[in-house]
Amino acid sequence: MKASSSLRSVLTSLALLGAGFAITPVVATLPAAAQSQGAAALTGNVSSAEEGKMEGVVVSAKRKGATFMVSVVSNAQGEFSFPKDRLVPGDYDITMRAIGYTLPATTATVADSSPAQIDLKLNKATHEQLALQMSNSEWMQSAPGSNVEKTTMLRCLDCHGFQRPIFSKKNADEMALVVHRMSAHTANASPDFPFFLTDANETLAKPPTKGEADLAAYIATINLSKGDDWSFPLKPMPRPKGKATQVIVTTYDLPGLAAPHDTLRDARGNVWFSDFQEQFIGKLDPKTGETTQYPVPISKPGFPTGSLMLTMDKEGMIWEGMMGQAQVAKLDPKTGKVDILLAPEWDKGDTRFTMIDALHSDVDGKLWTKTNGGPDPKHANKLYQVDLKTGAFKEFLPPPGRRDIAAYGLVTDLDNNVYSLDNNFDQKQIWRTDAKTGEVHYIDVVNGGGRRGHIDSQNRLWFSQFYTNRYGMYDPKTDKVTQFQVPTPFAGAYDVQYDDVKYAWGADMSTDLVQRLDPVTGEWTAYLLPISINTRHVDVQKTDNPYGTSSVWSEGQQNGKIVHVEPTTP
Amino acid sequence: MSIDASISRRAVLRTIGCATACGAAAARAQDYHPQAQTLISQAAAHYQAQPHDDQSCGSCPYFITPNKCVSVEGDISPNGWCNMYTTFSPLDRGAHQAGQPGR
Ligand code: SF4
Repeated sequence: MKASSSLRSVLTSLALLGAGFAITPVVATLPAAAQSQGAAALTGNVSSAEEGKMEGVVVSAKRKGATFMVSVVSNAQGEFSFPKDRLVPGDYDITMRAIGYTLPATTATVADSSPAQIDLKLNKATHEQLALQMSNSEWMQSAPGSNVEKTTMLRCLDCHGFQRPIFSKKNADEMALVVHRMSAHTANASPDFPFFLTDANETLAKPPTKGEADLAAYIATINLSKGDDWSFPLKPMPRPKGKATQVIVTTYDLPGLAAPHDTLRDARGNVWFSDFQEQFIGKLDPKTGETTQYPVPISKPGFPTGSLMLTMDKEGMIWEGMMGQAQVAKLDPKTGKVDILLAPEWDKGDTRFTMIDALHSDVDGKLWTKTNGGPDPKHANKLYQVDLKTGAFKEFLPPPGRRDIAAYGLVTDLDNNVYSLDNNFDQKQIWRTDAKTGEVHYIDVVNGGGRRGHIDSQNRLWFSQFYTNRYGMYDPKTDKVTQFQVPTPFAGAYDVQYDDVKYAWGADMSTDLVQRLDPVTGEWTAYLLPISINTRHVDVQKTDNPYGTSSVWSEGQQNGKIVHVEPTTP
Repeated sequence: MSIDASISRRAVLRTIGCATACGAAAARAQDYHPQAQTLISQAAAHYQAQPHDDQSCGSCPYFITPNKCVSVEGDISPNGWCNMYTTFSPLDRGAHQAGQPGR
């Protein structure tokens, strides 16, 4: 769609009624979760010559041709059990995750009559296999280097895993050119989608900065530039124990090169997802594994496609900030109709939408969003309130002398005021902008700013601190921030949400763990996912949980998965 | 980008990942027609007309037969090279791929 040349935003209705593209996998319906929880479909135990019975092995069953995989974890006796309501009769591939071990190709047949039984004997992994199994966090825990060097490297995870630099043979000078090139890519670029910023050539005409050269020099000390093996021992983390083994994880495959960034479950149980690089709004039906894509039209040919934040208003409309296309997209799930709003400076520079929050738009008929990368380098990031009736954008400005108030994360509170979270190691504040007056209230956080977050039913803000690896909770009643250090080093904490009963759920970009925190006792339970995944956003499922405790949805941003993590005990 | 083009590209790049991982000749990007993206200049990419050791455009998944590139503008030789040279492999998207026994 070509918009008018006016800088006024325009609302364009697109004749995309019913234009969602359903991608139907082999039908393999997930049975209703609450059926016979006690009965098992498949049981067994896991052992190895080295350890005997093994606790904390993530065992996965994927029905042949299905697009989802169910995983459970072995207990202290090495036993595992798949509930009957999770595996329909059929032939399954069985895989497992236990760092340092491998499992030969294994299958099992699940029948209706009695539980199938399978014993898994694991073999010790070779050094090369172990290297391929290491999570991003395990690499950073293993590698030498300062906290600053490793924390700086966390930025790599925005686009790809650590294996790419760590398996590289480039020396410091060669790596400096690569690190420098990263600054010319867009925020949503990836090896599969190497999008560039419009000023890439000017950026790349300059030599690497000192910071880029320093990071490259560090990478060259921990990669394969000096030999065929790493100069440091690989240190895997311990496997899950106790409560962390009492869980069911369902992993859904999305089609092709899908790159889900945010997931959100609606009242009907559908899970909506944004795609970081492709121009559609996605829907997963967890009951069937069927995926539907609702295309969003192009406004800026030649600019990157894709979106970041997904939000839903109280009427069930889906809203997304369409990154490089500088659009806000709205989807009516009932009709499949997509509307777009264009940013005031949609056709200037690399103006892009990232965050958008319509969750509390019922309060005043407004949604909050922001743009980054605008044409004025002194004011490139702009915070907007959008009137949903007229489509008009109203910009909110910082107090005189202060920096842009549009930051990274954006979270509305119950009164539809908005918190801004700046993802910066040295940032010592987050802030809230009043929806009516525009007044900005600054909140001290020591350091680490914030990345993503959610509001709970008590109007408290839960937020992640990516670089300092914490979850934070701000209570406006006391004006105090409480911080919780994520127990796994270099996790890259990305998002956190409270279940409004007992637990805060967090996901990160580095560990392949989904964390559950009891903020009263300080108890952490870290659920290991069956695959390496780079989780981002979390969406806590507060209702319809068959095990009586909250569960969480998250996604594999860099490998096209959506995961549902369901503890089986509180 | 049409949804068909998008799916086509995904299929191609998935093939590339597999082909490279298997050590076979990489699939090419010529079947991939995304909306035109900003390309970088040959100077910005440090492009050279000669291979770099055993790396050359002909084995890079960004190469479009006979003489174009997904990321770098202008004519590109299959014997050339730039510092974006890469191979797609499972390493790019995580080591523990679902459904792969033995991992
Ligand atoms: S090496 Fe560089 S120029 Fe050659 S195909 Fe790959 S990205 Fe393009």
